[in-house]
Amino acid sequence: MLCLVDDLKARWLKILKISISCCLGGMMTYALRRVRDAFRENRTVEDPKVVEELVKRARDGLALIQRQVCIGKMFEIQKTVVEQEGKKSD
Amino acid sequence: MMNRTLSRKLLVSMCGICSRRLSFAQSAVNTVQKQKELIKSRELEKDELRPLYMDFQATTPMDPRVLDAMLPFQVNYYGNPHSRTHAYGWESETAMEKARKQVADLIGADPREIVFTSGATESNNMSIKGVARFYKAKKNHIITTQTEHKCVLDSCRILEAEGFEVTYLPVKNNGLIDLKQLQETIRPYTSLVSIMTVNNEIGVKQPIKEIGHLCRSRNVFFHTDAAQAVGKIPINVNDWKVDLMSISGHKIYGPKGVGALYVRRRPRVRIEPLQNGGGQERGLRSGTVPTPLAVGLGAACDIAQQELEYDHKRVTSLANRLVQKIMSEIPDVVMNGDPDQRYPGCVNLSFAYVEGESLLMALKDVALSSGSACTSASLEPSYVLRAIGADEDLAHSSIRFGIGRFTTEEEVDYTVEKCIQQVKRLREMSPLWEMVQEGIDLKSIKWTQH
Repeated sequence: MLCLVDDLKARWLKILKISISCCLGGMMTYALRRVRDAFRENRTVEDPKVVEELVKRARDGLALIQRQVCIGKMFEIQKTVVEQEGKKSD
Repeated sequence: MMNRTLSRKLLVSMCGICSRRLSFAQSAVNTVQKQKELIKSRELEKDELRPLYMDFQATTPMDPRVLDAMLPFQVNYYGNPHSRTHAYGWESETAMEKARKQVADLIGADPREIVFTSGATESNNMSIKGVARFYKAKKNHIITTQTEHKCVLDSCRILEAEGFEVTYLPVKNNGLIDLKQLQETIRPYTSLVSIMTVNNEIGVKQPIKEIGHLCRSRNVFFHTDAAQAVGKIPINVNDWKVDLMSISGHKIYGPKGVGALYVRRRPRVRIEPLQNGGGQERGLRSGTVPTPLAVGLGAACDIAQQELEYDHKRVTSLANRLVQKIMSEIPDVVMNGDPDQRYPGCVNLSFAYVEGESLLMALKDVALSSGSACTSASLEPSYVLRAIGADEDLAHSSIRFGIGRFTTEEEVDYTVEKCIQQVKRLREMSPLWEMVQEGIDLKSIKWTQH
């Protein structure tokens, strides 16, 4: 169980690193928020089968994010006003 | 007694109003003629910042999860799903049937009742013309509302030219139909009632369950254009007693160019197909089903089903944030449509004493709309706002804010801030606003032509 928690933490950190480097803008903000909320919704789950299913979903989700970030970088476009202001304030 | 400056400004504004009224008469006479757009189209420069997207009713960006599901079928699995003799066809067919099930599950239907189309416009055309023509021997009356999408109204207009009788039901000031009036309008020879679930311009949600039960009790088929509703509010075609339902892919974060039509099997709804050919899609819509697009639609429906509650909660909170901030800072703002029976993500506000197109031009950093994308080229005020009885001046001052899955708090706050700033600036320039500030009742003024 502790291994699973560490695994999940590592994946969450990976998503955060991707978000810093990526260009999906509002979609990445959505992805971060959704992943964080999903972690919080399922934090009390104890059934090992359910946990395994959720971890599998997390792995697939991370792989999807990585693929889509690559595609997004290939077709990068101008930033929106809000993204530009957010970048300036960082 | 008015002073010279004010009377000069009055004359200028009266000329503007007179010329506008004359141009309304002109456009009413010649509806086919395309009107010149006030906002000129141009491409963004490379270094120019993109506007924020707040027009989710016009279309939605494709969810990355949908694109991820589609890509294998664009690149590797390119078989024709109707090919029966090799693996390319079989795998394509399997994917298409999986997508069909995903669409069906979202609306509580059987997969055999889902027909893939090119979009909600085709689905609407198929339902209305198909049902009307199939049953025309015994029934030739159709009922719809005045606030339907253009494709529904236009389909009804074509049927009128073919000899059908069509009743366009008016709506109340809040955009909802009167159930009693609908009941009284249904006749023994009515074949179809078509009423949209959620309006694309004002976001009003019709009482579909009550309408469905009424139609079922009177043995009339019920079609609903659910393009703006599917994936955003819970839908069950059996609870609602809906016989036909139109679904659009690009309104639910799916690809453009694909949609679906739900056609009930029990009790059976027969329709005359619009498109004939190889007999695909149970003979109702011949043509090769575009597997990547169908897979995309299926994925979009699947994601929508999982995220429905989460998205609805978030969109409601963002919409409330937008409306409360604007209405608390600016007086004389009217929300069009019923405040309770609505989808929160579609907010249509009228800013009195400000011209809608001028406000859109001033808000160049935000992608907004003053009405339906399908009718945005016209200078005429929205027919939907006319139908709900909005004053002509308020109808010209309306802006539609669309909030969706990917909208952030920063985007809403930026939009609100700019909107408040620009409305105040435009009102400062408006002689009508000045007159209102001085306590003059504009409705008591008799405007004359010179």
